[in-house]
Amino acid sequence: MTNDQSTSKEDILKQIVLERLRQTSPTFKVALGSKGGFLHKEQLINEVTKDTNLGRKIVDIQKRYLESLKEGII
Amino acid sequence: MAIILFSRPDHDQIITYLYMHSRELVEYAKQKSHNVLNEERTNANKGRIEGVIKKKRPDLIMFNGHGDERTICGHNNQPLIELDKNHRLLRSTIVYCLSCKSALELGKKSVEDDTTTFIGYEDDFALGRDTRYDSTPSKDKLGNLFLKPSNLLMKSLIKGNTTGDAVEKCKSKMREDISKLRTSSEQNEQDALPYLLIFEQENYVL
Repeated sequence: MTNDQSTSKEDILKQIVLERLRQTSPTFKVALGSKGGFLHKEQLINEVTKDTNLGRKIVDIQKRYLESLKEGII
Repeated sequence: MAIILFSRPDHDQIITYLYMHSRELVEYAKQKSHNVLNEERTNANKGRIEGVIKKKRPDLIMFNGHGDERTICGHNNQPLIELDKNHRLLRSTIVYCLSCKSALELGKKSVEDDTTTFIGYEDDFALGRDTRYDSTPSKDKLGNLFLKPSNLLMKSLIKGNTTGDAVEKCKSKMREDISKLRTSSEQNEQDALPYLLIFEQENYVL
């Protein structure tokens, strides 16, 4: 796989995650680790859009969830 | 009768959530007639925690708080236990650490002496909540999805079950909840699923 193809796959995943986050309930908040406190929908989207460490973690968590669904783990 | 130490700081949003949800554990341990040492809020500081561990030699310790690979923190994120500084204080105890990443280095090093058991997390832990219950966290069904299994784990340890059994009970409860939530019509619950899954997968007994 070339770098271009790899980047494209990451971008697609990011778009899927952002679309999932846009559906998030306005009353849902989540804390991930010690930093940042509880984050609401817009903050989660912002972290992913800006590609911060936390944003990449959110993408990874959503990816693992989607893989678990696909593989029938949950 | 076991000696059980709780370190329960209460200084920011996340830690306050843990503080409130762990209150029932302190009561539960008392009901079971254990000798309960509850160091909460400002008392969850290094001087007191070190002193209590040295003097009372608890059988079981629960730490709530922030932390990282090498550190468990208390009130205002003051380091309580640090790898290669005072982690040997945990020798010959069962430790349950609701603190980010503590299982990675601190936990691994702590169990090298074969008399210590360490249950902790290898990654940042995730904690969801429903903002409609900001003033009544104990009624927050979403928050309970994350913390009830953890409380189940600790109650199991308080009852004297093995650490392996306690962790399995916790994970089993989370898997059961995850399975139920998949068909939930509540958007909040659907939103929580990916984070619950991570929480369930990153909990380890060493």
